[in-house]
This record gives sequence, C-alpha cells and structure tokens, in this order.
Amino acid sequence: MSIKQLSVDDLVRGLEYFGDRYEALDVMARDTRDVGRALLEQKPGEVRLASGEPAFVFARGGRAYQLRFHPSGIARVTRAKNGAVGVSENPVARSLLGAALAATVLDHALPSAILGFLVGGPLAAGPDAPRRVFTMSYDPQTGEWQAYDGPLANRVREVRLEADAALRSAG
Amino acid sequence: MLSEDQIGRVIEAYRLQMARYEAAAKFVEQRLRREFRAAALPVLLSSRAKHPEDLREKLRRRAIEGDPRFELEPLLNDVNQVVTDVAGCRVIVYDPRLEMPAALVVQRAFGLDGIPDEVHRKPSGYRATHVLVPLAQADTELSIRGAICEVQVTSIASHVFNEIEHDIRYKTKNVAAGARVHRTLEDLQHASRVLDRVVEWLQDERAREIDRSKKTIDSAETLRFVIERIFERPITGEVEKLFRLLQRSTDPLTAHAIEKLDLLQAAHRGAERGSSRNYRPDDVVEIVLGLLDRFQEEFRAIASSWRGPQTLLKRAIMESEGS
Repeated sequence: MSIKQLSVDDLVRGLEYFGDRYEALDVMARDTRDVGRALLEQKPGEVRLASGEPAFVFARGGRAYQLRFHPSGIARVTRAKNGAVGVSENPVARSLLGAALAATVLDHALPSAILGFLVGGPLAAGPDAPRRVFTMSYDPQTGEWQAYDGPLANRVREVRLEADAALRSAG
Repeated sequence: MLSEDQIGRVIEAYRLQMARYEAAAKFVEQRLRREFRAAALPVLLSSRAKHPEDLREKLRRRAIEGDPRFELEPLLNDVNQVVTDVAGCRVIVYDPRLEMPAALVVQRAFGLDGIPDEVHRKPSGYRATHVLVPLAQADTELSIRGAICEVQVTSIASHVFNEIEHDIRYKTKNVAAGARVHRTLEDLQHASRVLDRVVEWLQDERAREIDRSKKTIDSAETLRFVIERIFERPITGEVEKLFRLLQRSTDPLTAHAIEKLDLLQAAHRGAERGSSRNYRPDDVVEIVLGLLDRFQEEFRAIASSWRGPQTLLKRAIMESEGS
C-alpha cells in the first residue's frame, strides 16, 4: 500500500472528525513542512493570507478554514470566522507560507507519525474549566485519522502547550 | 493421626509435584501483575511453592492438633485440596485501606464472584485477607489446571509482623520463645499498627496537596489518589484505562478539572445504567458510563483502539450506543 501524503482535505477531515464539536485541530509532525506542503500544493488562488492575522485561508466544501503555524512545530487548523476571506494574492501568500515553514524547527523528539489534537470548548462553567480535547493520529497508509492512545500522547500535550498561548493570542 | 512415616510419604509425593505448584503460583503472580497495573494499584508481589520442610512442619502441627482433614489418603490423592497454600502468592499494599480493594482485584482477575470473606484478624495479631484461586479456567495450561493457589493480601506493615511472628511461633528451632521475645513481639505488633496509621495519614495529606495544586495529573496512580479523595473510599476497576480516557479527552487534567467533571454524580448515573445491564459493581465502569453523556463518541473511538482481551470497561463503552 502506498504512503499517502497529508492533504488539505485530510486537515479538514481531521477537524471535522466529530462534526462541529471541536474548534481547532493542532497537527504535530517532526517536520511541519509535511503539513505546509499540503497548502503549497493547492492550485493558484486557493490559498490566501488571512486579513489581519498571520494565518492562511483556504476553502473546502463551502466552508473557509484557517491554518497557522507555530515555530515549535505545531500547525493549527480552525474554521475561519464569518467574513474572513483571504486578502493577499496567491504568490504573496505562498512566499509568506514558505517563510513561516522555514521558521519552524525540525524536532527530532517528535514522532515521525503525524498526530492531531482536537481542541473543543470548556467542559464546565468558569474561567479555569478544563476543555474538551481528543488525540488522533493520521494513518498514511489509509489516509484516515483515528483515535490515538499510544505512548506519545504525553509528549504531544507538552509540545502543544508551548504553542497554545501563542496560537490563541493570534486568534 | 498421621505418623512420621506417613508424613514422609506425603512429602516425597509432594516433592514430585512441586514444579506444578511453582508454575501455578508464578502464573497467578504474572496475571495479578497485569491486573494491578491496570487498576493503578501499587503493590508488591511475590509467589512460591511451599518448601517441603515447611509442609512437613505444617503436617506435624495439624497431626498434633488432630485436624480431621489431614488424613493420609486425601493428602496422597491431592495434597492441594487439603493444604490450599502449597501454591501461594502474596500481595502487599502500602496503604492498609487498600487491602480489600486489592483482594477484589484478585477475585475479579480470576472470575470469582462476591466479596472476599476470608478476612483474618487473628488474636495472634495476624492480619490479611485470603483469596483461594482455583485454576480451572480453560486459558490456563494443562500442567497447572485444577491447582489451587492461595493469595494473601496484607499491608506492608502487617507483613513485617505476620512474617516475624509466624517464624517465631512455628520455626521454633527447638527453642521456645521467652517472655522478653513475646513482649517485643507485642511492641512490633503495636509499631506495625502505628506504621499502618502513618501511611494512611501520609496518603491523605498527599491527596490534599494534589487537590490544592494545579499540577497536571500525569499518572494513573495520581488519578486514583484524586478520585479516592472525592469518593472518600478506595475505588475498584481499571483506573489505568480511566486515566487514558480522561487524559485523551480533557485538558488540562488536574484535580480541579476532575472536580468540575463531577465524577461522583457521574458514578451515580453510571451505577443505574450498569445495573440495568446487569454489570457487576465497578467504580471505573460506573464513572465512565456516567461520563458517556459527554464523551460517548470519543470514548468509543479510544476504546476501539485498545488491544487485548475484552474487559468489562471496554464492553460497557462499546455497548453504549444510544445510552
């Protein structure tokens, strides 16, 4: 069976794994360029720079999505807010995407597998309530996401925590 | 009454079967090691076949006591049916309050129903709960099938007293224990009860510290600590799997987060659901059944990735559709 490279459709499928229940999908890979490549391979005009945010916008199935990168090796996919449309020309977005990817580090401590961390809303009232989350892995053989219950779950949480504050403040 | 010659015949026959009892005890120990890890219950485990000379001493004592079960014929036919501890496994817990939950883990590991009822609190000071495990299941090797293994569960403090008291009482070395030794044994018994209490206080204080802190719960044992503090009693079930379910679905997983999830209420809901499905009582299963209102799809997705034999917890989650 051939190895399937992560595509933009896969990112969307990961975020929509439980429908609208989760707000964001944090994708972790040893080399974040694996995730960025999915965007770079889009047709001209399909990837645009988000308005007022260091994020890239693309559309799938009539919905707009945003993708942001954090240098620690995390890529976050979210649904774009209403009216969030890309403003830059595709070549500009592409060069900025290239720069964002170049700024990420190749973290050999991360697994070679592509792991995903779905982030949902608070599970209770109050500012410090825990949030709903779900850990997944991307199977390059089948091109499907599945629940991840392996030994790297702790490491995923640690890495993600570093990036979370920065990605949240970025919107 | 057994004669010395008859005892010798039983011992010779036993020597030939000793490997079977060693294998039976080791089998039980290995199965329990897995089960205690799954329950996130910290224990020390050991196993052994009774030494022939210890068996000889026991037979002599019983002969003197005139125990009617200790007849030559049944002893030669199947010594294990008469002396149920020729294969033995010991489970030592740190916190004495975990003696009964640990005994329950033993019962369930071998499909035994009910509550362990052989709880010893002897006048001699001996404290332990015994569970007799008959290895009758089809998944046991033929060479040990039919053997009985006695599992003794006790606290580490009681273990010190039990062992020393037993050796002084039964391994006399032809020198009877004097008054000073008896007094010192009483001191040891007292000290072991004090140690039991100190371990309880220490565990309680540690649980309170974890409660107050905002530190992430990073192990199943810590989760057990936190839940037992909320429930105000030891809990039963696969705590290690519960930890994995919660860790994969809740962020951050702290004592505060556990409070917010209201596991006590979840367990009440889960107990009703569990009893309607005729599940045996199990705290972890009940907590999980109660949390399914929130996490049904997530828990099903996680549980479906679990390999190994289907446990009650996995069954409860996978059968939960539409609950």
